[in-house]
Amino acid sequence: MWLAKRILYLAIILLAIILARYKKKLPTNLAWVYNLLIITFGMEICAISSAYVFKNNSFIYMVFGIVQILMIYLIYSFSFISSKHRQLASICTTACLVAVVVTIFLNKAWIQVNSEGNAFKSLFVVLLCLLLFTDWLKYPRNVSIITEPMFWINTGFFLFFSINIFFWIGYNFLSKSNMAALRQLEPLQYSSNLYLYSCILYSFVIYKNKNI
Amino acid sequence: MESEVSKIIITGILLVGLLAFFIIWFVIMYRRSYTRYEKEKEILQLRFQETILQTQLEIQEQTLKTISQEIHDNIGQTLSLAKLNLALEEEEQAGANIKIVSSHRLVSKAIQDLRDLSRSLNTDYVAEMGLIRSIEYELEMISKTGIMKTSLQVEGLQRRMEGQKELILFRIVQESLNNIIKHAGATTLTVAANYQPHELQIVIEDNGKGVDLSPLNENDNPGFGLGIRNMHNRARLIGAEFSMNSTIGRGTTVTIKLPVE
Repeated sequence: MWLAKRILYLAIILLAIILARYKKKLPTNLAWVYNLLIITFGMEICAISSAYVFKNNSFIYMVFGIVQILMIYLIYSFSFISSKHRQLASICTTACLVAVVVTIFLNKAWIQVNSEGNAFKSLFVVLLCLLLFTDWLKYPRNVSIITEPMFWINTGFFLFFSINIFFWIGYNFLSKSNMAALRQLEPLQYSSNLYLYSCILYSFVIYKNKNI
Repeated sequence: MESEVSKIIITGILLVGLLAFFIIWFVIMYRRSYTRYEKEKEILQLRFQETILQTQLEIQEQTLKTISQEIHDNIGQTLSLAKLNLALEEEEQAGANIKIVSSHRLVSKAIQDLRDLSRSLNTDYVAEMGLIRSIEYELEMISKTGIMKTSLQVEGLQRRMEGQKELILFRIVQESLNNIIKHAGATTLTVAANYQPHELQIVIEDNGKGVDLSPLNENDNPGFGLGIRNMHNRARLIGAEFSMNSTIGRGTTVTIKLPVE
């Protein structure tokens, strides 16, 4: 069941990669989304293999967490129009990297789940999403925002990482005391994951040599 | 334990609902923001166009002034000198050559025509004489050529306006009169100025062959009616309304309505 669930969202990522591959002249922000998808796909394959072979894939998720922060920062820094927002994003990224590295050492993240680090990372991405929403409100570019690929990517990230904040804070409290309650949260996280990659897939479907 | 689980489920559902609500709210706000942004952009574009038009008009007026001064100071002086020589020649030779007399008359006429032209071009003269007197002067010049009969009707309490507005109005009238001379083939031309309490209305009417104005609305005819478009833009610059009506074979009517304080 665990593997079947993974295969479903890996299939969506793969579909998005194939679709993005055939889109010509992707703008820089979407090109970074494409790169992130490839790395995510590769990472998930490694994580599944590692879980079977070494019974632990925490190290892979730890490394991926840092790479993901940097790539998401690049996606957003190429999406902002306001230089002030770009500066704010750089500050957030630095703060988030410091917080995640500290939690890595505190939680020995190479051998166990780094729930605090994941919560920090999620908070960071949600902040970037809100900054981009503000940027769009300040500098509107297109009459219909829902036809813009980056809107769907941002919406996906926003929903996924907002739920992840909730999930990882819950995980931190419940993992030691109430595993049954924690399992109730998993479908929520899984659904948000599916939503995120569906949004990314959809954004590549609607992309027509536009940049936002 | 079960109550903890149900709390988590409810919190999760609330969170998703809240996030969905936020996204819907954002889309609505974005639309509002976009509409506001478009309006601001439109106003800026309009102001930009007005500035360009204003600059063009200033350059044009400056050029006309320079030409007017050149005509008056150089060509006018040279012709005056030639006229003087011819007059002396006439005096010295009693029963002078008919060609000299004729040349004297022609040079006198050329000097007068150049003076008229110089006045018509010069901004200062227009400002000095005022709108109605300047239009009258233009009509006199047309009348003198004998091409058509002209008349000016002024109704209401005549009053002066801001110099720039009068000048632009005069240039619009001048452009209309030039169009009539060049294209209408008219025999009568009437200019009516009606001073109402809050509006000045100028109507220029001719009995010429008329013009088909429909190509003005077609985008694939950018060259057509450039003069009309210019008059329209000039009128917009001073907050006036410009309209033109024409029927083939039944003349053309140009109406300018300028709100006055």
